[in-house]
Formats: sequence, C-alpha cells, structure tokens
Amino acid sequence: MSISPDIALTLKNISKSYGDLKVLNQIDLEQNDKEFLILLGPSGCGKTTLLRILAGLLTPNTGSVNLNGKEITELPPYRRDIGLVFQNYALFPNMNIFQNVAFGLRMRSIPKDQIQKRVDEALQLVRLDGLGARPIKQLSGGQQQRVALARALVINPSLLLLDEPLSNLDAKLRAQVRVEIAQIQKRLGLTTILVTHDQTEAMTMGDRIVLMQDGVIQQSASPTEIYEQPINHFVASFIGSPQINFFNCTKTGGIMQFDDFECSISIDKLRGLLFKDIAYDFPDGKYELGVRPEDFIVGNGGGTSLFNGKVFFVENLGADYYLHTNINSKTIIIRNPQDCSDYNSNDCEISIGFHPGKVHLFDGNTQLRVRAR
Amino acid sequence: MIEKMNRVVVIIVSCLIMLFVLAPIIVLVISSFNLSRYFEFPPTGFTLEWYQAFFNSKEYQKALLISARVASSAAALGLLAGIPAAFALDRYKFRGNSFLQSIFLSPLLLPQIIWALGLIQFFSLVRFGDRSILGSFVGIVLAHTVIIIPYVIRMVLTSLHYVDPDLEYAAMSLGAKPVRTFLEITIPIILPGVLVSAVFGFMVSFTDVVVSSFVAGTRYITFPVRMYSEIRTEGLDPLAVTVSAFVVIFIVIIAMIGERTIRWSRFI
Repeated sequence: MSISPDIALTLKNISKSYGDLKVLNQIDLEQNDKEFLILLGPSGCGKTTLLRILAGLLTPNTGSVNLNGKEITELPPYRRDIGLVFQNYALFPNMNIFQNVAFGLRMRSIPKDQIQKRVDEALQLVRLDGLGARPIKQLSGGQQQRVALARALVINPSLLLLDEPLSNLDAKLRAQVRVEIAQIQKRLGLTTILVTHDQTEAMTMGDRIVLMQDGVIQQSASPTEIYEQPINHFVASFIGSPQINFFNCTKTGGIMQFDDFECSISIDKLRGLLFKDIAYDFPDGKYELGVRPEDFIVGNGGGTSLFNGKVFFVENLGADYYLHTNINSKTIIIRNPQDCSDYNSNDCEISIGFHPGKVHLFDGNTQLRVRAR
Repeated sequence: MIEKMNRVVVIIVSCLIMLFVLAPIIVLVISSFNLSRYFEFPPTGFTLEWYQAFFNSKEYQKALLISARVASSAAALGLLAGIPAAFALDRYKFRGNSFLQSIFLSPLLLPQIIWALGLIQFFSLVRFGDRSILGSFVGIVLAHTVIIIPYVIRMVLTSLHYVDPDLEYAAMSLGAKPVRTFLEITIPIILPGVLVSAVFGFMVSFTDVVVSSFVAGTRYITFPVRMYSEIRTEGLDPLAVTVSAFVVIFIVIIAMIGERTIRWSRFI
C-alpha cells in the first residue's frame, strides 16, 4: 500500500454497528503528519466511537486503520503507539503525579534516569513543574487535566487522541487551556485528533475540522472553509455562533420570493449577494438562503435594504449586540450592526439587508449547497 | 431554635442507642476482671486470674484454634469463589445477571436454622468412601464458605464500582498488558474491599453458632458452640466471660486498625 509521505493516518470504510443501530457508516478519512484534526458533532454522531476504534478500545465491523504505514486495526491498545486523554482524565488514584506521568515510560522499559528527565520536562510543559509528589486526590479539575495531558505526551506517541478534554472545565479555564493545548501541539509537532461537540473549540484549535452526524462525515475542511463554504444545511447551522439564519424561498423565473413574509428579489440582484462559489445558474424550485448574524446590513432605509423587521429583544454582550428580530412571525438574530444604542427600546423598527457576497444558498429539498460545477 | 432542639434530640437518641448496643460489651469486658466467681455488676474486685485460667485452659484454646482454622479456610475459599464472581457480575452484561446476583446474595436472607436443617440432610447424602461430610472439617468449612460468599461478592462489587473502566483503558493505552493492568491498577483499588471481605468473612465464620452447631458433630467444636453449650450446662462461667471479652477486645482492635488505615467502612 503506497502512502504519500505526508499522510500519517488512513481510515478506510470504517463501520460500526450495535445490533440494528449503525453508529459509524463507511467512514473514510486521511490525516496528515503533525496535523491537528478535530472530530466535531452533536451527541450520538459517532465521534467518540471513532476515537475508541483509533485507540484500540473497540473493533470496527468493517474497514481498516493504518498508522504510519502500519496496519493497526486488530491491534490491542498496548501495541499501538498512541497517547489517550480521557474526558474524565482517568488518573490512577493509587499513584501520585510523577508515578502517573511515568507509567507509560515504565511500560516501555525506559531507564530510570531518563524517566526522571522526561517526566520533569512533561510537567514543565503543562506548567505543573515541581508538583510530582502530590497525590491525585488533592488536585483540582484543571490540574488533573494537565496531568492526563502530560501522561499522554511524555511517551511521544505517533498519534495523540483527546476525548472532549475541556468539557469538564469551567468556561474561563476552557478558553485558557484551549490555547495551551494548541500551542503544545504545534510545539511538539504531534499528529493529533481531538473529539468535541463544541464548535468554538473546533474552530479555534484545529487545522482541519471533520464534522459528523449520524455516523457519517458531513464535511472535512479547514475552519475557514467550513465556515464560509458549508456543504449543507446541517454544517451551516452547526458551525457559527449565534446560529446562521435560514430563509425559505421559492424561485420562479427571474424572481426569488421569500416564503415567510412579503418580499421578493430579482435573481440578478441576488447573485451579487451570494458567495462566489455558488452556481451561476440554478433551476426554479424551493431554496434556502443562509445568512450569518454578522452578515446583515441594518439601517433606516436606503438601497441595500430588502425588508423591515421589529427588534423585540437585545442581548448586550459588551463588545457585541445580538438583536432578536421579527419579520412577521419569522425570527432572526442579527449581530453587532452599526450603532445599536437606539435599539434598546422594544419593537424598534429597522430595515434589513444582506451583505454582498456573504449569502449562502441551499437547495430546498436536498439541503445541499448549490455549488458551481 | 427548632434546629437546635432537633440537634439535641438527635444527639440524645444517638447516645441512648449507642449505649444500648455497647452496654453488653462494656459489662462483659468489665466483668472479665471481676474477682468474684459469680456474676455481679458492678464488680467487687479486680483480678487477672480468669485471664490466667484462659491461657491455661486446654479446651478453650483448642476450640479457639479450631474456630481460627475453620474461619481462615472458609474466608480463603470465599475469596477464591467470590472475587471472580464479583468481577463477572460487574463486567459482563448477560441475561440473568441480576438473577444470579440475587441467588448469590440469598444466604444473607435465609433464616439460618432452616438452611442449616436442609444442610444436614444434604450433607448426609454427600459421601467420601463410607463417611459423609457431615461433621467433618471439610463440611464445616464448606458450610461457612457459603455464608461468607455473599459478603465477599457484595463488598468486592462495591469496590469494583470505584474502578472506572477508563482507568484500565488508560493503562492499556500507555502500554500495559492486561495482566500488568490488573496487578498495578485494578488490585490496588479493590484491595481494601477484598481485605474487608476477608476479615468480615473470618468474623462471620468465627462467631457463627447456628450452622456450626448443626453441622459440626463432636470432633470439631468451634469456640462459640463450645461456649454456648457450656453456658447452657454449667451456667455463666467466669472463664467463658473472660474468653469472650478477650475475643471482643481483639475484634475491636482489628476494626479500629482497619478503619484508620484503609477506611474500610466505605465498603460495608
């Protein structure tokens, strides 16, 4: 099997079922050496199952896993060269920090003085230097997580796997540790896969995001690409906070008519508003326009305005405002338009337009992005 | 105001209950030092002569030794059978798992006398050569083992709940083979539970009267059985009192050591 020198991990046709429940459906995936890959998706999408298959804790029903040219599908975890960080850290309660971190090195029969050196280095890397003698029970959640990380890093694995490592931390710590993990990964050049349901984590940490739903990969792309060119309705709505706004509409001839309120726009004008990658010509039928909260133009009339709405609730986040707006019975969220001070009064009427080149178009039936051929 | 009253009431009731439970033991220990031959409380004098008599009494020492042999054998067998059973019940999902658990724990629920009656009849059917195991050492040990197994299973199951399966996965992901994982990770975590069940099992066997009376026969008279029959025939012998006090003090010391070192009350 010839593999490009850059590819570290290859998954071919991985499927996993529990009885009638198909958790993973013919997953194909490639990962480059030193790449930071994020497995993202809602609960039940199969991301944790996939991670466990990579770790050797589960065997797939079909398919193969190939790491650095070696077929590892059937190998037990102790024969794979992997580092694993669990969601609940899984630190050995009968050992102190040093012993926990040293465990993997001991299993590899590394000489004692080397172990001492490498553990100290690892503890320094996660900013726990000098705490080797402390027993696990006395540690805070954040500290436990660092120990778990150090334990997996110190063995210098071919593949580092992290299962929702930040989900048990409070918000502030999460933001901090996110950056630290990303920095450590770059510094050590470890091929890494992180599983999470949090799209913010995925966007800020990963070189590439693999978004899954119902056991199928929806899209595998860089954060920028997945944000600007979501391949379908699901991807567009999962990525981005606040969520993207969808407008149901119908195309007849040269006109796109909004379904939920009185408004229509000529196709010529629409094309100027759509992303560049979207098809020039598309047939009559049902469609969805997707507009992210930050891509609205809010004003009091003027050429860009398409329709009017009533602001019924303002979320003030300091540097951002989220305007919850009704157009008839349809609700959208608009983010941080220019000059929000007027909008604190309820039911303030505003005119709304779309930012040129920032509108997504999805087929109303297939929910796929209407791509250029 | 009401909370304070509540607290006072709770404290008083707790003290009364503790007194009620501990009073016989306190009386027992104090009486063991009593000068008089007959039971009287409070004691009239202080003496160690009964302890001396105990250390010189061949019958009581023999009974204690038999009890110790039976108890340690039964505890060992109980661990040997109970620990794997607990692992199987905890780790494997299979039909009848709960049902099996109930069966294994049932000796705790059955009235011992009724069970012992059945045991006599069953034992008389089991023969080695021309002798049945009724009245033999093997017989008593087996009978005690059955009583002990539920305690072992229950306590080891409890301590297995403290063993997160991810711990074993973590060890394996770091390169530890299954046996290594078991020795370095699993055993240290369940060890307190195992110790507790061993000691508990020993105690249960050591202090058992009902089953031992039925199954023992004349050759293997355990300590509690001996004491029980002596008291019935001879009355309250100061030697019996002393020996009992001795055993009780011994038990209390072991319990305190266990609690101080490994906090084994977690597993009961």
